[in-house]
Amino acid sequence: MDRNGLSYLDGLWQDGDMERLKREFRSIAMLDKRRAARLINDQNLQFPTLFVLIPEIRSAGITELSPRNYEAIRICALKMGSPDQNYRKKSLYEFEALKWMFETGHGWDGPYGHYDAYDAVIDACAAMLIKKYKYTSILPQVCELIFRRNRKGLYIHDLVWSFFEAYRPDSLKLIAGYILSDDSRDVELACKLLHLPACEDSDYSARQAMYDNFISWLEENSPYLLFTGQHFQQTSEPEPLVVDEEALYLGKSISPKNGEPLEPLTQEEKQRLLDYRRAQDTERRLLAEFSAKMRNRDRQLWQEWLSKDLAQQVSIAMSERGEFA
Amino acid sequence: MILINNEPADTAVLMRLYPENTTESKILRILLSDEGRHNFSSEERLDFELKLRSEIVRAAEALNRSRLAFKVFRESFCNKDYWDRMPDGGFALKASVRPSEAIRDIYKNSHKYGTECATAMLIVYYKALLEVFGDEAFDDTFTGIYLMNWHRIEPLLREVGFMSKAKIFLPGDRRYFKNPDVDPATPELQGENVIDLGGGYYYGHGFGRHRAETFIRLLNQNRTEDADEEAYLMDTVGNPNYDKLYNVYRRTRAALEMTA
Repeated sequence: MDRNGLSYLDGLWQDGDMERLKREFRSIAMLDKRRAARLINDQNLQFPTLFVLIPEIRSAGITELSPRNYEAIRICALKMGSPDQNYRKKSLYEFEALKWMFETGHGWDGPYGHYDAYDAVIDACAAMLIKKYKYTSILPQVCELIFRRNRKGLYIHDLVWSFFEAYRPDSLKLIAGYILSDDSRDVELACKLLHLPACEDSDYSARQAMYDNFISWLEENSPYLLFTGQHFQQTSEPEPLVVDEEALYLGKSISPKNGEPLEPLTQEEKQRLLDYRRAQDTERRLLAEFSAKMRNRDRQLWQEWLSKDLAQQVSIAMSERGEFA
Repeated sequence: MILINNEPADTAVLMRLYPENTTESKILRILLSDEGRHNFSSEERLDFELKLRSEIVRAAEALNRSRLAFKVFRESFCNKDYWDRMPDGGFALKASVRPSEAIRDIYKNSHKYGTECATAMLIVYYKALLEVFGDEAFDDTFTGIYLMNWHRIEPLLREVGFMSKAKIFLPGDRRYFKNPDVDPATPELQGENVIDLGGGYYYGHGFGRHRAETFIRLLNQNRTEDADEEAYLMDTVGNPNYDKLYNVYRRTRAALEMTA
């Protein structure tokens, strides 16, 4: 490790000279294969260096790889079209390897012409960490990567899909932050991902208002939000997150993944829900919105209103909705 | 039931217009037997939709027989004589070529192309429109084709990107098989865009022409180890805006006839 905290091999191409790295590594491996293995197995090594050296590691016949590196190479092989036979076998090191690959690798954009393979590997790491290991600490980095790639016109849909597969409503604040970006491409994408009207041409104050409204909506409705699973492979205008009107009406928190109540419904709530489902579409919307507003204003009044029959609820909601607006 | 300009259509006359067992007649039967009201501004408008849906089915069947490869966007490839491969994996029409020739080339030299299922759907739509519009009108209308998925789509075809719940399903509809518990290592199998071919068959690029059960079985094979949800066919459809396309078609054809 050098004084900047970089491993020896990382330090060799700090200036981006990938060919130098490969050349030096080949020389080391030719003279002393064990030293080459030691250098590649350095705990401080960053994933881009390993990725660049995979052909050299293979051609030098270096097999004494740390479990982390072995896993990383196996995952790369899988995404680059030469999957390891043992891929489906559970590995104790897979999570550690994925975490290391993404965390030390997401900031590198790869050499021109190698973008696709490298990006595919990073996307796979993000998808497996989020979906398989429920490791959502990487969401800020995933979000940053989505917008960075989008500015270059690169493929983003798998990363976007992984991001929403975390089922974390609060993570949408990360995307919303880009509504305030100086770059119109960021603003356009943020609006598209959040299913908001296009606003890339609006001035800053209009975008600030849109951002504030979105954050308020997110916070107010947080317990009742449901991910729809819509994405760009399926539709032009995915609406990733909606308010579950039944949950809003009953005031019951739900799982954002499947809409199931976090606590079981009481018999009374079950009956209310059955009555609610029989109402017309417009009435259901009115009742849900009115219920939420009344609940926020006066919980006791709200409980009294909710205990009335549905026709009375509708009648009160219609006559008093102005007051609760 | 079918209404023409808000009046009930003459069922017998309509059925005589389209030979039995054609896609058009199958669609007519579904619409006629449905209790919902299906209103068309004119018989010509109805005929346009029937023809376009029929060509969508034909274009999908032809693509199924072609050698178009399944490739994820990062590995997509195309015939560079007609298309530029873009950094996001989509294909942009070259400015110097005729749109009609570029679309036909995908079918003629299909081995020179590889892409994902959503792009294949767009290819199907453009091929169907080409057959209905004819080369000249097609070239005048669809000048800036970009083949990728629903994220980047030209205004005239914008609506095919939207999915909405449907009570009846017709040949030519775009449908979607969803695979909620897909293995994250293969996100391209998170679902499959398909064209309803009629008779219970669907075409999805990469999988081919099958019944729904087969698509579900194939998608189920690519789920996480702890999957608890099966793949399923969504009850939504995507369609082009037939009214908008019909109006463009009429105007373009009329303009061409004036200059002929």
